[in-house]
Amino acid sequence: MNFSLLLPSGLLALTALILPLLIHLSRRSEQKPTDFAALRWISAQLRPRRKLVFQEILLLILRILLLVALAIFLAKPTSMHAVPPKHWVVLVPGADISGIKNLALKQTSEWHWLTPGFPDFKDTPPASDVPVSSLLRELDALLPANASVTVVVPETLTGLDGERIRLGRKVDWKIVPGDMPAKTRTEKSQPIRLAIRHDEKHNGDAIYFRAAHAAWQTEQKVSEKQALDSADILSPIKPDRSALVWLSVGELPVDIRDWINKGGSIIVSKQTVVPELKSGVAAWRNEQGKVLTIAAPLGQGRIMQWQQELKPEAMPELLDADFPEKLKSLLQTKSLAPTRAFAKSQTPLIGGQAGPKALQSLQTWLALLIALLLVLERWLANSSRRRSAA
Amino acid sequence: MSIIDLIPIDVRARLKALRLQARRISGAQGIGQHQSRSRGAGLEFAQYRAYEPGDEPRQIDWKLYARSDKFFVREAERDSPLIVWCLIDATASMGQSDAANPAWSRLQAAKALTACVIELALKQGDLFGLIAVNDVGLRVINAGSGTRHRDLCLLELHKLKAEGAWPNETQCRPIWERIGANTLVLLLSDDYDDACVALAERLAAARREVLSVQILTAEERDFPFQGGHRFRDAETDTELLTDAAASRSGFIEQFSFAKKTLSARFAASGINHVEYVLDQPLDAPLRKFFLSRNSQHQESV
Repeated sequence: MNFSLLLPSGLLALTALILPLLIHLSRRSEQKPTDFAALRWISAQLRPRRKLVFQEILLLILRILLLVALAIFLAKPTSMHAVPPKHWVVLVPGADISGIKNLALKQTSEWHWLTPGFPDFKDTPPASDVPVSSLLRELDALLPANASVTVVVPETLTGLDGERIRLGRKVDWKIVPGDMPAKTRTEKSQPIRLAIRHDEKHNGDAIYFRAAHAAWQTEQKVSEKQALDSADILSPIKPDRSALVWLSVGELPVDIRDWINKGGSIIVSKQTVVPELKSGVAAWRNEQGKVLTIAAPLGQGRIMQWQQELKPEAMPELLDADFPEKLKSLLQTKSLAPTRAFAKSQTPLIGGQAGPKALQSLQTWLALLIALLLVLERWLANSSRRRSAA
Repeated sequence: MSIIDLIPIDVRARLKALRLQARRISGAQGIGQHQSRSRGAGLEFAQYRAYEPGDEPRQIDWKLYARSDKFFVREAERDSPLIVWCLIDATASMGQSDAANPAWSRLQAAKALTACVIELALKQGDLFGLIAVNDVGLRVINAGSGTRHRDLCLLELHKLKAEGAWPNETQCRPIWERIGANTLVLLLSDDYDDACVALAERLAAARREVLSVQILTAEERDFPFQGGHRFRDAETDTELLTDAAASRSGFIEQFSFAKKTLSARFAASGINHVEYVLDQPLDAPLRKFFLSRNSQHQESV
């Protein structure tokens, strides 16, 4: 059990300690004359020495204690009290419960479902669409540091996210037969609405992209087929375009940059000057490891650049059959992370932040102490006054 | 008006062991318990004298008549009452008391001692009188006896206040007029006034038996003050600001020297002198003066 102060600046109230010290400085005896008839035998006319003498030490100590307790009260003392270690068993919905008896788990454990609110095991698990990894992190954060957790998971997990589950404690990861139902993907990948802008010199290079566009259209339904928007660099870009191939030299015009900032994806030729790409990373390497494309973010959008001349002799991949697919994945703005994996491969890693200590405020007890001290102080102060008055 | 008893209960109980005694022969008239010069009926044979008309026939010594054929009257020494005067210093310095017990002042102690002596005198049938001395006005209750006289004295004691200074010679004249020779005088004072000590010496020299009780406060004995202190003399209104702790040893030395000088002066005049500090039991000085011989014997055993 150790103490900590949540608001240490409350200790500034300790400066009030000067008040009782000043009050108890014995100065009053010099002000009030004492009757003393045997005055003539006091010979030496000594000046009173300025020595710090305190009167009524007991009362002074009480008052100082009272102020110290008040200051600590203001500083919000808390204690991290030790909770007896608990063992939690959480079951992921979808796990086969019939085999649980064979897992040799302690009967004293608390059994819960891994669903929002962590309902008791005896209730039926409520249906929820909160991801499993998020729930595990929440549980880890809620439980005291010394609690141990066993997680019973089905063989296949749904509701994962891009980050591997990383918890503050080691959990017992029990895999039982079972399967979580895969979620139907609500958002489908949007078709790319491509525009091509090229100058005279790069007219020949544009044919690869026109071909890729034509290849994409063959997969689409008739109603979703799009016309190609290929034009000179001076012609404006319609706002419904989501991707642009820019084949020119020199810097990008301002209106194009604005368009990228709003969320467009652009892929530019090697001769185009784009300062942001100095910090770009490789987006596409060929089988020999040669970098074909680099990419960098710009505003909400993304900017990419070919690192090779768009000629088949410099970049044979242009003629490959899967070039349209590769181009599509490059220009696809959103990619969906996989959310479904084998539980075997998703054993939580250790190294997240440890769960918070259980904090208990000591202010109630301190308030009682202050009240007690106050009563004592009042009693002592009044009784000493009575004594001196009598 | 209810008058609170001046004598504490335990002290009143201890008074039984005490007996007023004088070293000299009593000079008062009447019948009492003290040796006197006056002759009359009594146990102790004094002398024969010739019969005078008016003598009672039963006082005639008939056996001597048978031998000498003359009337002789047998006379014995008669025991007389004692006159006790309580001389109370009622100057302002007598109002001083200890901080620990502010109600118990020197004057209060003097009043209580007087009340004790009055009780003793009443018990023995002695005469008692009262004189309170300050320059505001001498207060005198003549010597008398009986419970009514006691109540008169106690009333006067209750009215008494500590004020003023020691009176001059002219104002002191009633003291000489009232206190006759061969009487017992109990002086209750702090003995800080030289005139008071001088008066006691002259009374003793003029055949009054003087008993002196010097009443001191515990603070004068111990000097328990700390730090800077402002002292004030109530009679002269002089003030002294000094460091109490530093002047303590000097004060105690000089004060005890002064006390020694005083008791030497009193001893030279044949005055029985005791010191009474306010935190002592009230009857301590009376026991030194008046403890009867039997009781003393018992105590020593």
